Amino acid sequence: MINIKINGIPLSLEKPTNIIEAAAKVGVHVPHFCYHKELSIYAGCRICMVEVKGKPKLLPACATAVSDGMEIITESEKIAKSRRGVLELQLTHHPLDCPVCDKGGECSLQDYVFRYGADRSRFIEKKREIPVNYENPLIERNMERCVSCKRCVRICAEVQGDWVLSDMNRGSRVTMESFCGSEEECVHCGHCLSNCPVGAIQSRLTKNQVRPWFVEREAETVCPYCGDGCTLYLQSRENTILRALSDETYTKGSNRGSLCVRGRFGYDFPNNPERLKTPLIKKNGSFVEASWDEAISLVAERFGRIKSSAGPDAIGAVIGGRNTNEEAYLLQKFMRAAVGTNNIDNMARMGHINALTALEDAFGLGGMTNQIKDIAQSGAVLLIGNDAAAENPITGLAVKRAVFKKGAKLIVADAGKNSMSKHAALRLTYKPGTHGRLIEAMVNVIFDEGLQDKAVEEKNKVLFGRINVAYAHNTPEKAQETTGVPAEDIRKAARSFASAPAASIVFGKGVTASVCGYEDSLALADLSLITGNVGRSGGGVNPMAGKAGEQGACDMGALPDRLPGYRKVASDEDRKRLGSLWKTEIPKTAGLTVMEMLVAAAEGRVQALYVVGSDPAFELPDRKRTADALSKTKFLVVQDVFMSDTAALADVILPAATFAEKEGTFTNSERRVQRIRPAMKVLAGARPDGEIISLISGKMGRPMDWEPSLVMDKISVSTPIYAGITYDLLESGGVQWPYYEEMKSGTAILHSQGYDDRRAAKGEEIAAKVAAARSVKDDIKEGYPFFADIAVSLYHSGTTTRKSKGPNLVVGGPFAALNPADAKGLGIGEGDTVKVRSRSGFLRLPAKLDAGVPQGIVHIPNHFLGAGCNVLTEVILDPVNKVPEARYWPVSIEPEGR
Amino acid sequence: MITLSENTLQEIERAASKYVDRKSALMAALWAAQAEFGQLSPDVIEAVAEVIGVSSAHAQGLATYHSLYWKKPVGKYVVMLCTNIACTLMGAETLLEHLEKKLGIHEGETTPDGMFTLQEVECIGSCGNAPAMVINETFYYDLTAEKIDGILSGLR
Repeated sequence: MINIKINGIPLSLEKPTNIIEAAAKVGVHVPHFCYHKELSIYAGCRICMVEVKGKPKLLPACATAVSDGMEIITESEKIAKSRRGVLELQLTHHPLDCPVCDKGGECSLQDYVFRYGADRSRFIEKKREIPVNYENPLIERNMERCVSCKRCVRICAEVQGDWVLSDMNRGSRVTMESFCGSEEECVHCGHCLSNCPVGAIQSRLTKNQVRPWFVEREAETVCPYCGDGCTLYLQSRENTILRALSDETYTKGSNRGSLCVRGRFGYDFPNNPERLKTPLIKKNGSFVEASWDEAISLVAERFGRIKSSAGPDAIGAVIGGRNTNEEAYLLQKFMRAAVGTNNIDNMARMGHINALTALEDAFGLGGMTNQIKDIAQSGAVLLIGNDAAAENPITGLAVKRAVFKKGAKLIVADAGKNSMSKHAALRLTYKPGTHGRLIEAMVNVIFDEGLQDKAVEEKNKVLFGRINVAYAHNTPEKAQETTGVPAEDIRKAARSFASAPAASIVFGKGVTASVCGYEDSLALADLSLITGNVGRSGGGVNPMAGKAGEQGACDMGALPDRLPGYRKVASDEDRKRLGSLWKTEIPKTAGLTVMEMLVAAAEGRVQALYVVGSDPAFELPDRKRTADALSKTKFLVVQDVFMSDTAALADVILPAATFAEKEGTFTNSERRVQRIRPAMKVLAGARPDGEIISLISGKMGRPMDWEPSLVMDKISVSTPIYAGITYDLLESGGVQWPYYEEMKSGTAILHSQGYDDRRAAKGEEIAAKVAAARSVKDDIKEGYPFFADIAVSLYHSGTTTRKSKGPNLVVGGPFAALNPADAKGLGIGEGDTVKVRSRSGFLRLPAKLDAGVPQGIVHIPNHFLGAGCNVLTEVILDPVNKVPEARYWPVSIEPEGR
Repeated sequence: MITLSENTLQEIERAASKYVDRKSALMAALWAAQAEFGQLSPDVIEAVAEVIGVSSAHAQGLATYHSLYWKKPVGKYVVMLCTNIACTLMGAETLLEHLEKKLGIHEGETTPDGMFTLQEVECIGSCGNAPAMVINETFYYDLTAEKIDGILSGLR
């Protein structure tokens, strides 16, 4: 125990810490610029000097550890004089332009000068003049205001791992700058600006627009974009979002203070004037504004009519990845209880569902096994089919942290561009679609060289034996032929993975969104299992959900064959249990997946579709076929916040509310259930999705409470993995399911008490079907030497980011990125127009040369209006979950000159 | 991007082999590259950063911190005259004027023939033999105008 006194206040500490942290514990703020608890100690600003009894000189509070018996004084005339001196030196070159500085009111320099005086400097020399750096479209650097604390430099290096900034020059001429002032390497996370204690680094989006005392409302909420589910603060005034901030305490949620460009700069779409503000009904081919009553009555009436004429199974619903758990729950309940069909699906069908079902079959519970921050504890990370730094940047940070802080060996396996490659110890570039062979070969090597976890093997002899036999045929040499990865590299990867004390697997759509997505997710589970990494901190199998609501929609049973909590439609007991809660009979036959609904719509078997928060016409493969099916649907209802390709085909459009206007919860990839809270009132004319669903349901004779906290209470009763979860419990930071009421805790790491292998003995049957699907794919390669990598950009997430200003300032349009060697071979230069052609269509795109793109690949971010990659693709489904092959597609590239 | 010569690369690898973490050899690597190119222009810095495995910004930060890394082209000989207190007391300011006149350039400039760059520097640790100067890596002590003339003509 360390007993100290701070300004006379006694304090007992168990662990040693520095004086700044100790003082904070008793509510004493020690002024500081350069200290930040997430960073290394720099002790360069000299304003945190304090008196320690018995020491002749003042000591820096940041760099002095407390010791037993220490008596510290943080404010005295001696200290104030020293701080005045520091401030006066700072002001030798600071321009004192507070009236036009956005930091005014929340600036440490301003606060300390206000507190200690020293409002000017005695130096008479001319102040330094440094032009403001506007190279970056989102972040400006005004180095005249800099106090040289180097927090920006250190956060960029130590937390982000990007090293974009450095302190240039020395002494009074020092500036915090990027290489030659350019922004080429910057990923625009904005961590430098959120960390700047003064006004030197600021957001250009809010320039001269926000004063802290303007803020009327602040909401702690969750970023609506990817599956990382980052805690985010939205500040608003007069129903307009002013800015997004990260958590200054660095303690909350999965992101702990970090954000990526989408979260920090993509916040303004709720205020985009293009928002849908009134229900629209298509009359004689064009949309006519309607009242809510009229629109809801029409929807209920048409659904009712189709239900009675063609049966409930003639109606289907799809929900996207932008909706809350409560909304997904309401929608599936509406379909099952009010309509009477299991035709409900969600956009996790585009990949994530393959991972969830595979993990459920392998271990008994489907979900990311570990938590995001736990990945930082890994000794080796296999990152496969997921560009973590672009698709789920906060998970990417955890991976980087493992590399930088733990010296983890990072194995990046990907067919396409992967921005994590530069941190990789080993980069394996496989041919698209062959990742399964690569994983199998790694398992093969591990058994061959006896690297499997012997203790786990002892307990699971039968299972290990089965896995060994299953992969015995795929030697690294054989895998080299199919994957193109040198056998020796496969061996190296297997050895580093197996020999690490804990090794984690992080994977995404590159694995799951393919015909073999289920099978290969299982192979990853096996790889983790045989190396003893299941249930282990720093280990595990970690699939990344693409969107904020994807995991939750699956949890909520917005799936045709699953009820809430992954209970099975096929199980009489599960149906009966839920039916008795809902006081209704749950339909017995499994419903259709979204891909099957479209086929059924084209054939007239499905007559009405209810599309919530998604844009199938843009997101699903084969644009023409999808659009045809949607057009053939007798009655198409689209509920969304913006006009979309799908909405344009609708009979009724219902304007919904965005994440910034409503209550609810999102469940992120790591199973963390977190609350979102409104930062503004619902846009006039729009309604929250839950309310809309409940209005329709009520009109059809099945009223439902839609108030989110009440819905959560219902969820916690009907969804076993959510049992006991209430809004009060989720007040701060969220909870990872499954929640254990008796222990008052969620589950950070699944299967630490063992697992339950539920794999059905139909492995060979599935393998045969996958092989058949794969051969269909092989057939379309003829004459198309390239693969289009239909990718997610760091700057966009699906389609809502294109309605946000910030991300578009960096990447505002589509492009086709090619390896310079390929480009040279085809005579293509930077900016030339290229025609990317597949068997079914083509896109005309400006070319970009990028050495990070492997040869034979053309990398196309799939977010932009008029450049949807689904004009290239056709529908080939994986046989297990009917997930469409949607990541890599054979194409040819034709140069069209400038 | 510039390519470093085989010689420089070998030099860098030799330096890197002395450290547990090759990043520690950044200073030596910049020095070797400066020896080859005469200066550390951004593209040279970028090339060194790539070889050592640090970011270009990090390498540039280091290069701009130390005054003996030339960020601009310099002459074949860099004349660094100390004008710190001891040397000034012993007449360094007059010597600076003399050098300027003799070379026909101002402090900080390079002669048109690319032979000499003149720089005023802070203490070079030779106060006992003030006034003093350094030309490239050679020190010259107890300077007078005549002595300087002799040294310069010896170099031409």
